Amino acid sequence: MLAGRLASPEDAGVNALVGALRLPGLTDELSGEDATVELMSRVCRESAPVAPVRRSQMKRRSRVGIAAVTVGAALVATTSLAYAGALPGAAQSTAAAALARVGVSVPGPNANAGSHPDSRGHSSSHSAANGHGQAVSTLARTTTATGRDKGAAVSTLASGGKSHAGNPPGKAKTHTATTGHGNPNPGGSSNAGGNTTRGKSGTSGSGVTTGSTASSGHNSHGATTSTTASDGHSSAGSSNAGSHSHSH
Amino acid sequence: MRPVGCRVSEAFSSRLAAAKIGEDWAIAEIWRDTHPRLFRYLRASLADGSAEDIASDVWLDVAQGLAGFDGGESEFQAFVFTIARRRVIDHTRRAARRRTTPVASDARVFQVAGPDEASPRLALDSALSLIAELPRAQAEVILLRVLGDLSVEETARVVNRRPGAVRVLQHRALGRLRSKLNPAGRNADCHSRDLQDDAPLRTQLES
Repeated sequence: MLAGRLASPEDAGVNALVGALRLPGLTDELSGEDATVELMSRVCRESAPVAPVRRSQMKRRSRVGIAAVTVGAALVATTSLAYAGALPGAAQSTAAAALARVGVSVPGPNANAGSHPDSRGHSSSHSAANGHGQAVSTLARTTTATGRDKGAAVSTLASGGKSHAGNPPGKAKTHTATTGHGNPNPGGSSNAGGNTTRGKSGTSGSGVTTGSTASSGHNSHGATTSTTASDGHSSAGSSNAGSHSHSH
Repeated sequence: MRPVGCRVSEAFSSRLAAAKIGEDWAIAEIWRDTHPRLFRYLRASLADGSAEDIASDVWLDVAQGLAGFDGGESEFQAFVFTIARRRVIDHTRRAARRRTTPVASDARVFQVAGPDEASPRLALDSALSLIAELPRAQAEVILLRVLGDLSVEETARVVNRRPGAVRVLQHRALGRLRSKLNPAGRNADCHSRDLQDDAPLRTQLES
């Protein structure tokens, strides 16, 4: 660029000066080349960035590897559990069917069930159940009852008469003593001790009735009956102190 | 050895890419091409003989920043000389009170004969001494324009000045150099003649 092409005589000196500045490198100026180049090469190699493409490829490769190992481990674990018959019934059945296709025999879900194989089936095979639901639905839609009565009617039908819905609060459903000891109603023994809040059980068995009556705390007959009902273990009525009868 | 400033731009990209990953041959070529001018810049800027040490520091900085550098040959020159200038400033601040006066140049080298006839070493030393006698900002502009081969705009970016300011500094520097190299012509109308005669020189510097 500045190669001494100045035309003016006054610029000849400047031209020569510029030419001197742009002389080729002298020997002593280039004497430190080896040491400097070696140092620069080391620094450049240390600070050279990893190619982004290569890094992304490594990332992708590692992700695929992790996914493959995970899937393989899950497959081996599932197969092992299926071979041991330790999978849940439905999973064991599916695993047995799938492995049977590749020639591996694993126990089915009922292999160890003995005489009690799983009898579960599809809900669609229970036509009676379908009819039951429809009947409940029809009643719920067509009944003229309202409020609690409607709920009680629907619930009673749905539960096959087992539901206590609709009963007045605090009024238990009528029980019939089936053991001869009056035990079906726990209130029979405990209320005999004078528990006034739970003693009014309506028309239960003899022990229960007596216990209810005795809930006032003044009837010794309840205590007697309670004692009888508890095979002599009851202490009800002995003190009327509100203690509960002991039943071992 | 190629003359300083004679650069092959086509090969620079591949050379730079190889240098970035630490290829010795590429770094050596870049170093041989740039170091003489860098060293002369440092010699003219630092009068305490520390140019060689500072040059090593500059090349170390260049190596560390090479991975993040992206540009052509001209940008690379600006990159190197920007680092060098900062190193010079740092060193000058540290050694501000130890500055020595440069040896007076012998301008007769350029009056009697050109660098082709004179000893290259003597011509170079005298040229650097003449430059070093210039005010600092003017010397810096001349060195970056001649040794760094930078354009006015690139020089302005390196020295953090406006291009117009760089042109003014260059003009004044050339006027001073003419006065030193042509003492017989120094007269009353010297300054006005310098302004007029500066046109062809400026044209070349701008090219």
